[in-house]
Amino acid sequence: MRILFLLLVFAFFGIILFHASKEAPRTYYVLGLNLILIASLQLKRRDKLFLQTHFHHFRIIYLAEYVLLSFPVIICFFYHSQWMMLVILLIGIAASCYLELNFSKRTLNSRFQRWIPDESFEWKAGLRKWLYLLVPLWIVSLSTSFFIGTAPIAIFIFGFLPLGFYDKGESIQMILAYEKGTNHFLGMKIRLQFIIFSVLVVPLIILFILFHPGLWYIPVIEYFIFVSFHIYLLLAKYAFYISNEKSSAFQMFGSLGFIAVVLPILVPVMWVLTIKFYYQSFEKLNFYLHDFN
Amino acid sequence: MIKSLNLEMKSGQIHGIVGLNGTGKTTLLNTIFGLKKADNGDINFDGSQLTKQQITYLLTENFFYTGISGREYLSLFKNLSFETDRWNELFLLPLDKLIDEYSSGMKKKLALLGILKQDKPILILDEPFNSLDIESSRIIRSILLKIREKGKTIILTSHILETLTNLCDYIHVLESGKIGSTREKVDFKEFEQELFQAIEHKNEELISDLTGSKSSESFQD
Repeated sequence: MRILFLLLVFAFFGIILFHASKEAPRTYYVLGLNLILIASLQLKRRDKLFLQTHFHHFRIIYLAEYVLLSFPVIICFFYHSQWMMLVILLIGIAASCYLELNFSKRTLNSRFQRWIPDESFEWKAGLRKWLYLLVPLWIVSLSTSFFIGTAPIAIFIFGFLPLGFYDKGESIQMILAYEKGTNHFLGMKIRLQFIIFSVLVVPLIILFILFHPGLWYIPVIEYFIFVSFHIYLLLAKYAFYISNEKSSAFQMFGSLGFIAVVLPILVPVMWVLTIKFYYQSFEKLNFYLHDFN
Repeated sequence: MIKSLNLEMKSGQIHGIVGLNGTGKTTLLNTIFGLKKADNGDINFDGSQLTKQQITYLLTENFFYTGISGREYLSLFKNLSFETDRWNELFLLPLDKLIDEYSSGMKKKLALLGILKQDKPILILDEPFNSLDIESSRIIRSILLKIREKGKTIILTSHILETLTNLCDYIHVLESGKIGSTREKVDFKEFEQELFQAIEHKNEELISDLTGSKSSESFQD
């Protein structure tokens, strides 16, 4: 069942990729997204020391991996005779193999950390991991918002970012630290998530509407779908909360939420689950927080 | 399993709970804090039901959240009068580094800093001296004695008998789910002798038998 589901997801994305790589400007987005993903992989991978220690030609291993990962894109560019895009892609992949920057110290306490409220520690931790993707992406999105696809794609990426932020439960002391009753606690978390996401994407939405007024509804609908997705994620996190552990149930329902966003016909299912998770998370958290109600 | 318990603790006291592994020390603390429900009975504070608003709890194992710094953890506790950096002159923690990079002793100290910042009338500390170096243990002992003078009630468990006898006003021995005995301001040697006398001889015989040693020397000598 899972395999079938995965095959359907791959087929769906394969069809989108095939159509997007036919002609400019969509080919630029495909190229850009692919190179950003490869570069992120290269910067984040944790097996570099192992590969560099045990293999003399470790960069060939990187190259082979990234070419394999980019194979669908390469095939699509080849099929549509997008030779320039293909050449740039291959050069970009080769260049990525030489990326060796260590950002951990520089992202540790960037000034952006101070802008995030203390209670949103998930975003503080997430920003440390993704700062060098988020900031350039945001700047590039703002400055190229005259392109019709920029804002929707950027909102899409920012919208899915929290999927990796909420998979692990914090310690019990951190839940009790706020000394808030259960409803206040959940309300605070949802409100902060909404504010941070809005700060990121509302400027993009405004610029999109200025450049493409006739299509104002696209980013607006996207925004509301992602806001409901984030509420769903937060409530799912606490519905299946286990201190200091990643809940497999959350990962499963997180994936379901991802599919619902990609296939908007399933958004009502996500809404129904959100209500269920509200009651479940209330019961779960109330065990710890009932004294503060 | 705790079978029946009757304990009275007043403000400005330090109570130690001691017992063998599995006798229910952590279960007792979890029950007082509210992480486990007692089947019957009450836990009262100043005549009213005890609530989490009055207690702060240091767990044996200290978890936080991956990817945040010590300072960010402490900023979750909203006691604005707490001078974090001044307290850290005692604890010497790298607060601006990620907790993931802390040793277990540093995590324990961070958790203790968080406990102190919360400034609640009752402190429950499960094995607070585990993983701490000698200097840090002395600092923590000194802090606990000082905050006791301010009227706080401290309940702690530890396997370090000498620390307990030096620190605690009362030591309760947990045996088979009940308080076997309570000693007030007891001497360490006397208490140790009393606790282990019965089992020591039997254990020494078994150890000699298993190791094949005929030596009459024991650890306690």
